[in-house]
Amino acid sequence: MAITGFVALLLIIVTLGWIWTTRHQPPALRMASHVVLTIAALAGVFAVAKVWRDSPRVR
Amino acid sequence: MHTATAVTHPVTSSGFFERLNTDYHETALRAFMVVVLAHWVEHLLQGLQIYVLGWPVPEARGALGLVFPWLIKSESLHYGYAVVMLIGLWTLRTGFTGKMDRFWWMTAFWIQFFHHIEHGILQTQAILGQNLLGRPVPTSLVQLWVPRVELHLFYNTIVFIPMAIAMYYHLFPPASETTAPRCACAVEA
Repeated sequence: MAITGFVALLLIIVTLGWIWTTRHQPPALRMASHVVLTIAALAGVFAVAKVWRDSPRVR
Repeated sequence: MHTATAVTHPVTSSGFFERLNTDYHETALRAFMVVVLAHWVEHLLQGLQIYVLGWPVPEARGALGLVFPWLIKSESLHYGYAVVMLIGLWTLRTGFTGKMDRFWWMTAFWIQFFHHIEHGILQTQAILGQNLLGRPVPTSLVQLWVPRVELHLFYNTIVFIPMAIAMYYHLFPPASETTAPRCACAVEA
C-alpha cells in the first residue's frame, strides 16, 4: 500500500512535470525531460505491478 | 582467535556491521528509509514549487533551501547525500539474503553508484571552480542533455524503485525463497 501511494504521488509529479516542461522548455530540453519523466513513471508502474502481482494479500 | 575476539568484544567494526544486518537490520532499514524519504520530500516539494506554484527554477529549493539557501546551492550537500545513500545501500546489503531482495537491493546500489559518480563530477567542478565544457554552472554528464530538476527526479526514482521492491521482497519473501533470513524483518503471513 505504501509503495502504491508513493507511486501515485510520483505519477502526479511526473504529469505536472510533463505539462510544465512542455510549456516552458525549448524543444531539445523538453524532449530529454519527457524521456526521463516517462522512464520514471514506467519504473513506478512496474514496481506497483510487480508488488501487486506477487502479493499474497492486499497491501 | 578472530572469532573469540569478536565474541568477547562485540563492538568491533565487523561485529557492528554484522549486528546491523542481523539483530538491528529492521531498525537500520527504518532509519535509512527516514533519510531517503526526507530527501524525497525535498525533491517533491521542489517539483511542486516549479510545476504548480510557478516559481523560477533557481528559487525552487524545497523546504531546507528556503531556510538555508546556501546549503542547497552547495554541491557538497548533494554529494554528501549521494555518499550516504551509497554507504547505506552497501552496509545493509548482507541482511538481504534472498535471491529476489538481494537482486533488487544491489540493482539500487549500482544505479546509485553511477548517480554518485555524477555528483562527484559536479563536486569536482565546484572545487576546481571550472565547469564542464565551459557551462555557467557545474554540470554532470547526463545533465548535458537533461535539465537538472527532471534529471534528479529521474535518478531518485530509478534508485528508490528497486530499493522499494527489494524491501517488499525482504518483508514478504516469496514462497520460492529458500535461503533462511538472518534478520527478523520478514512479516509473518
